[in-house]
Amino acid sequence: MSNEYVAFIEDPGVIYQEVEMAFSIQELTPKNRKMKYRSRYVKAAIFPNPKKGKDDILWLRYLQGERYPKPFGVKILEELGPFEIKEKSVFTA
Amino acid sequence: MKAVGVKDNRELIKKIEEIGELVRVKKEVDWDLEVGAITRRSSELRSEAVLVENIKDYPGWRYIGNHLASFSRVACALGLDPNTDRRKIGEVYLERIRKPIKPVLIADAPCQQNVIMGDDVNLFDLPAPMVHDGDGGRYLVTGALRVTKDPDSDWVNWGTYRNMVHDERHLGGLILPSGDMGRMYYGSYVPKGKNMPVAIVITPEPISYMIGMTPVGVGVSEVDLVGGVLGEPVELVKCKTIDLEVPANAEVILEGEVLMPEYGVDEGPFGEFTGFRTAPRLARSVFKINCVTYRNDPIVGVANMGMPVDDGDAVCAVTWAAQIKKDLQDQRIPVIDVNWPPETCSLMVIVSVKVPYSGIASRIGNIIFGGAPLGAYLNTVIVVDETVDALDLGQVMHALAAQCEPTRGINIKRNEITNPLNPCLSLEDRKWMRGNKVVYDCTYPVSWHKQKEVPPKVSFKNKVMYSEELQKKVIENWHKYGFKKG
Repeated sequence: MSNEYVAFIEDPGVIYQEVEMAFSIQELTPKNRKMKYRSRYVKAAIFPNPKKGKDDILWLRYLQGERYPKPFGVKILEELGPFEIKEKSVFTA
Repeated sequence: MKAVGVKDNRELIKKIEEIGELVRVKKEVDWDLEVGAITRRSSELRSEAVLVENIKDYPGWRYIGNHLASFSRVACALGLDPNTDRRKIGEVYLERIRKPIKPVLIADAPCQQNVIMGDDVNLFDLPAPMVHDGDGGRYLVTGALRVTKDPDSDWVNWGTYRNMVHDERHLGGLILPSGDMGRMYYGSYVPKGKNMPVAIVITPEPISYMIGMTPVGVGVSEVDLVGGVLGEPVELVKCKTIDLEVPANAEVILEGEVLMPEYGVDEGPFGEFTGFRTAPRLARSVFKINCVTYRNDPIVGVANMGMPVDDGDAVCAVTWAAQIKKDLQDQRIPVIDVNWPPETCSLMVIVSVKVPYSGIASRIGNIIFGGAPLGAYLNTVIVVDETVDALDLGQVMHALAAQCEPTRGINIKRNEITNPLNPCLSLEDRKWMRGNKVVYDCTYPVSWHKQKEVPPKVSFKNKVMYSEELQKKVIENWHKYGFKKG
C-alpha cells in the first residue's frame, strides 16, 4: 500500500515534471496513527501523475493551507533529519 | 482569604454543567479534525461548551472546548451569578485586578501527579488535535500559557500562544517581538546567546487562562493579577527541570526551553482568533521539551479560535476592555465605558467619553495604540460621547453613521506595529507586522455652541425632548397604557 505525505510550498502549480528537492514533509499514513503529521526533513523526487497503488503520494498545500487539487508522486531519496532548520528573523513573529 | 472565583477547570465544568451550558460527549471523537469541527460549530452557533470524554487513540484523556465562550461562563469562572450583566462583570474584574495578590508555593501539586522525563517524552502521547484542515500541523492548543522569567528582575510573564507539534520533543510557535514574551526573549536572552527556559501550561485554571490572554505590560506579573481576581493567592509549584513555577491546578505542564533564533523551523499556518488563517508559514521559534507532567484523568483544552464567538472573544471582551479602561483612567481620561465587542475578534474597541477638550479622540487612540502590546492587536478605535452607550452596537453604529464626519472624524495613523494575524493586511505586511490604524471620532467639536450648533438627539431619554418628569410619568404608566414589551 502507498504511503501518503503532505508538504507546504509556495506554488504547487509550478511542478509539471519530476524535480528533486530537500524539504519538510509530514506523514499522513504512519503505522501508529498517533504519529500522524509528524515532521521529517527529506531529499525526495516529486513528480506529477502518480500511479495509484504503486507510487507514494504527496499532497502539496499552499502556504496558507489550501490543498492543491491533484496529488503528486514522491520518492524519498534520503532522510536529512526531523526538520529543516532556518534562521528566524528577529523582526517577525 | 477565601477564593471568590473558581480554582480549576473541574470546578468550572461542574458549575457550567449545572446551568445547562455544558455537553458531555461520550461517543468517540477523533482528534484529527472532528473535535475541531465540533468546537468550531459550537462557537458559531453560540452553543454549549463541550467535554469530550472519549478521544480516539487516546484512552484516559479528555478535551474541553468553549468553556469560557460566553459571558455567563466567564461570570461563573469569576464566582458571579451566571446572569450577571456584562457591564457588571467588567466592573468586578477591573476592581479585582487593581488589588493583586502574590502567589503561594506548594509542594504537592495536582499538575505533577504524573511525570515523564527526558528521552521518555513523546509529544504524540498527548492528544494534540488537528484543529483545521490545512493547518501547518497539530496544535497543543492555542489556549496554553507560556511561563517565562526575566533573568534580570523578578518579572514573570504569562501569555497565551499557540504551539505546533514538530516531532516527539519539539514544538514551534510565534514569539511577537512587540509582545511581553518577545521583549523578554529578544531583550534579555538572545543578546546573551542563552536559550530561554519556558513552561507551557496546557489547560490552565480558568482565571489564569483569562489573564494570560491579556497583555498587561512589561514588568507586570500576571500571576499577581490572577490572585486578585481569584480572591486568594494562586497556588504555584516549582517545575521539575527548570527554575520556573507553574499553576498547581493546571492540567498538563511541558517544561523546556526556547532555542536561539538561528534554530528556526517552519510553523503554521493556523486558523486564528481574527477569524481567518492569516499568518504565513514562516521560520519560527522552536521549543525543546524535556519534561511532561500532568494530572490524573487529564483534560486538554481545545481553543478553536476563528469566527466569533469563542473563548478568546468572550474573555477579551471582559479582560482587554478592563485593561484599556484602566490604562485610560490612569491617564485621567474621563472614560465612561469601553466595549471590546466579541464580534470583532480583538480588532476593534469602542470608547465612550465625557469630552473634556479638543482632540480627545486622537489622544485616546494614541494611548490605546501606544500601549504596547495590547495596542498592536487593534486596527480600529471608535470614540463616542456620553450620549452613546458604548456597549450598545446599534447606538454605536448610529453614532458612526451620523456623527463621524469623514474629513474631521477619520484619523489614520500610519506605519504602526500591528499583529501578523491581521487579515486586512497584505501577506508581506503581515510578515513584517506593519500596518495602519484608524480612530473614528464620533464626538462633536468642543468649539461648537451647545444650543446653537450641536444638534439635539431625538430620543426619549433626551431631557431636551422629554422632561425628566414626563419620562418618569410615561415609564410608570407604561404597562397601564397596554404595552407588554419594555
